[in-house]
Amino acid sequence: MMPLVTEVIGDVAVVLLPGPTLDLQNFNTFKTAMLPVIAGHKDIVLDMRAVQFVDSSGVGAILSCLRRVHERQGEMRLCDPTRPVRALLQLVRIHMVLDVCNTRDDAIAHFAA
Amino acid sequence: MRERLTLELEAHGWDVEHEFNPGIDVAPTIAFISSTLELSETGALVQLLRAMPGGVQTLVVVLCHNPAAGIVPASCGADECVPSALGSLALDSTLARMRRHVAERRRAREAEDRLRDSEARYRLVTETASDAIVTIDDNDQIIFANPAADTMFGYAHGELAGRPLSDLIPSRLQHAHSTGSARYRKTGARNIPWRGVEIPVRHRDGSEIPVEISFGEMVQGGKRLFTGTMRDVTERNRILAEVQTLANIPSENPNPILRLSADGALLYANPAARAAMEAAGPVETERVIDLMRHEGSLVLVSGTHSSFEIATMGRLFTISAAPNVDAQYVNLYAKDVTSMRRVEGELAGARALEVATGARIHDTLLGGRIPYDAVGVSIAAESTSSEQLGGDFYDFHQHGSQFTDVLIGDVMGKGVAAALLGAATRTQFARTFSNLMTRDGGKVPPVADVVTTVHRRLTPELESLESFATVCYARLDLARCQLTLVDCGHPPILHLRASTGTTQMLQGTNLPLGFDSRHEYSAADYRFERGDIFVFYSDGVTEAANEAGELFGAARLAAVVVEAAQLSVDGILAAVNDAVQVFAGCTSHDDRTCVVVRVERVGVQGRIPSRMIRLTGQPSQIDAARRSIRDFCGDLRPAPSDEFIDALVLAIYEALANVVTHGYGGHTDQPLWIEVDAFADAVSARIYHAGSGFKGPVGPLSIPDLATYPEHGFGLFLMATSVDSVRYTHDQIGRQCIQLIKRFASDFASRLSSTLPSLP
Repeated sequence: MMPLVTEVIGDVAVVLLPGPTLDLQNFNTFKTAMLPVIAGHKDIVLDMRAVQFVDSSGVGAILSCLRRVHERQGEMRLCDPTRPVRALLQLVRIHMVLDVCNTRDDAIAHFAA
Repeated sequence: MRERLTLELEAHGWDVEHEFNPGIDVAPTIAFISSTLELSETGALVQLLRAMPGGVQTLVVVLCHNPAAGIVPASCGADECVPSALGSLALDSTLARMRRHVAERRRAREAEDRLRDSEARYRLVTETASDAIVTIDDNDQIIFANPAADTMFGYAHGELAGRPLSDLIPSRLQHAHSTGSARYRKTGARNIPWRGVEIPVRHRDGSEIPVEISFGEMVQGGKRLFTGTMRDVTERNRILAEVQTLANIPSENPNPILRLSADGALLYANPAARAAMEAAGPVETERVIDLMRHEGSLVLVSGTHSSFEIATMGRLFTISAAPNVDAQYVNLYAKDVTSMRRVEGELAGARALEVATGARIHDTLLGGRIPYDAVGVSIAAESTSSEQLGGDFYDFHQHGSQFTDVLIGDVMGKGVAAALLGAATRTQFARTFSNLMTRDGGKVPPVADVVTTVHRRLTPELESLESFATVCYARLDLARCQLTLVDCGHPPILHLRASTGTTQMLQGTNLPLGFDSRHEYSAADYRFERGDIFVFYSDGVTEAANEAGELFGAARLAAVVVEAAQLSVDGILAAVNDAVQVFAGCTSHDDRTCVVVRVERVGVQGRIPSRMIRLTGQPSQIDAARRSIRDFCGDLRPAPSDEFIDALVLAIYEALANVVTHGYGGHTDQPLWIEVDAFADAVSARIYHAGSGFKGPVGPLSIPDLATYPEHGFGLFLMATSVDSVRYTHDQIGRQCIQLIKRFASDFASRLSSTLPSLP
């Protein structure tokens, strides 16, 4: 997995996952790479546009990040998932614990509100 | 092993020192050293050998008794290290390498010769001369021999150069030669005249040939060279001897003798001739004498002896005509050869019968019939028998419209014994096949089972005959587009891909039949597509050698097949045979078997598309498998939705992750197999592994409570919810299996069901 690209827009850190997968092979790298981002920002958006495949470990890693964000009283959203990733997120009903927005702007706008 | 190498090398005209013995004082051309010794001791032996006269040139072969030791030739100064118990595959490649070695050395030596010989014109003259010309150096080594010399002495072109002159001298004359030539070198005294002397020389087969020889001496590069020019005088001597015998006291000779003058008058007839003329009557006598007049006038003009045949009174006579040009008459010596010719004819007949019997065995027992019901493939096959009957065989088995089995093999050895053993092997395959089919309730038995069973049944016979068989058994599955191959030391299969025009050699690693009775045979799967061509062949094809000792080889074969790919299978087969024939000329003595198969149609009606993937848990391989499954589903017609494929791929991925984690304890280097089958109403994916068995929970799975931020426990849930059914089973050979079934939506299934059967 390539390094994460983080862009700070207002108070929100937008993290572009490089893809093309978030799975058994790279979920640990992803979790580690997210630690400084979570330490530096309360509110985070994970931009999923480049990720074509997420597996159960990937879901676990996202939830692990969410736990840390919540511990710091922050909020995390996902945006722009591809078709297979959206299907998987629906399957595990991730919307029960975090928002999945269609676009990056939507996600940032939700924080503003 | 060593015997075979020795034979091979002797076939190239090399002196083979069977076992290097440090007691000898001149290095052999080739030395075999057994490495039961320590490596350092072997090295010391090689050094000793290298230090001997001529030792630098010696081709040193170390036979390793412990193949695991894997001795590197350079480590002990040898040219080659070969395991003493080689499989036939490795044996063949080693032999091929040795041949190259020998050919390279020969070329190097020829190049040296050429350097030494600056007179290109001299070469041109000698190359085309009909007389044999041989040049030797001061040490009685042949440094040059023209093609006529090679032919006269029975060697392949270029083989004589480098051999000792003693090879050409009958053993009874060796001593006389060496004392004579030693004296000449010392004193300059010749003990035979140097021009036009007749001596016997030794043919390669040991027979003697009378030649008329002239010697010449020259000094080149400070070295003294001797050249002998030889003419074969066998035929001349025969006629002279005949005339000699017949001419002795003509009146007492039981054979007819006549003398005709230059203008055709009968000058003399001995009693035997007169009796014959009386018996023949005037008309026949006149006819015969007329023929003699004609021949007689010819020999008088040419002034040389000649010989011709005349048939009269139901007998056949050979007439030797001896002209006396000065006196202008011809003596004609007749000899009744009727009974001799009859015996010769009977011998030829017996030989022809033997060849015909061999050919019959070859045609009826060794060659299989191309199945008349082969559907979806076209097949051409031919086995060319050499003069000596060999053990090549082939056969086909057709099972419905889905499977075509191709069997090709070669029993070691030559002659009727090898041929019958080949036939027995072929029959054993057919019998075993039907036995197993009965056992399995009419199901087509796996190819590996067939080969393993045949092997178990045949090994005692093969062992008792000290023989073995290389075999290649392949099954084309037109529904799965898959070739399953069990290769037992046979030459590889050539696979030409129609889509890319590229070729690939398919070869397994199994041992030949008859080597190790406990050997379990394994199969390998290869994908094919419509239009792909498979060429099965025996080593007679790739190992056909031309005059220079070069082999036809797999690369030439591939080039011919690529070139002929647009022809019918018969056309391709003919192209291969022609190419080998042209390449090898008439020097090929091996049997040659070639089978060409082209896939004309795939996807048998009512059969299931299927894909088999072998992989390990390495990330890159799992990624590749994921793509492969995607492609497989995408190729179904009509293609399932993207969502369907996404979900199936996810479930398979989760299953693989579980196998690696739980079945293999996290080790990613262990084998995995994925088998995907498409049915009218569902896709089934089976994930096989050889690790410890584990079972997922039975009953409905609940989603982990997200409010607790679970990092684990999604895998089984995702697997279970992405497909319709998850089953944990195992197969007959002990592999664990997770079977996933994902059903199509009903409207989709109804569109597919017209072409495919439903999930059983």
